[in-house]
Amino acid sequence: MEALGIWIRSNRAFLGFVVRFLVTFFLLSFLYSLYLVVVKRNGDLDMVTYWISRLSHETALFMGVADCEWSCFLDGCYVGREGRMVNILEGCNGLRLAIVYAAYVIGIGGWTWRSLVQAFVGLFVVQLFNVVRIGSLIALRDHGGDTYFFFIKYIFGVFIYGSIVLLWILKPRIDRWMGAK
Amino acid sequence: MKSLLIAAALAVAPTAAWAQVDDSESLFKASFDGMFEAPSPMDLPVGVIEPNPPVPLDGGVILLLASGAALARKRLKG
Repeated sequence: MEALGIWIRSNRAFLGFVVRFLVTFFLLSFLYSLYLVVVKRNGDLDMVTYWISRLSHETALFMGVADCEWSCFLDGCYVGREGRMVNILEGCNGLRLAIVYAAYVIGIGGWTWRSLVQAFVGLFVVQLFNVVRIGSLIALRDHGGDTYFFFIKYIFGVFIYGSIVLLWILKPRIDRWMGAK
Repeated sequence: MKSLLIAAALAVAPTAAWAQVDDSESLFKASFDGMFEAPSPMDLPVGVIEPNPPVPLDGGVILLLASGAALARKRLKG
């Protein structure tokens, strides 16, 4: 019992992080789930999936996918050339990953203005990575071949998770840019 | 001869009149045919077009949470 007390005292900072990290993650996830329930009840598509697929469509056009079409339905969107479309579902919109990113930033830095600004900007930066990821997938699918399946299964997962971990590693530097001591 | 023609006309006239009534009735019936019946549901083809593969994230959120905790542990220990 005494050993536990010593461990808690010596890891106070880490335990504080865990509490802030989990509370922020579950709170933001709950709010997002609530939004999804309301959207589904209204018989609509959520705006995050809508905008991610729309920007992915623009990215794919920028990458040279000719005749790239874009159509949205209640369960998601289809982007790409006719017959080679990529299905973008709610789970692909990257918001849950952006929530994990924001939870870490608030967990480490606490509820300060600096953390809140980083978390807010980070939501958009993670989505930017996600748009590049899906845009590249559409371009790969249009290109044809087995590379699409290899990239979708391995490379792009590592890309999106790696981008978040990279932002976490860069956080002390971002803090310094923002004037932290 | 005259009375034979009259007798024949009298014999044929009801048949012609009957045929006329029958035709107009069938026309009348045909115009309402199926008007008050519910249409039978149309069978749509299922699984004809192969669905496009989705863009999965493979539930990596838990992995990301764990790596965040590990990174924070390393940072806050130092």
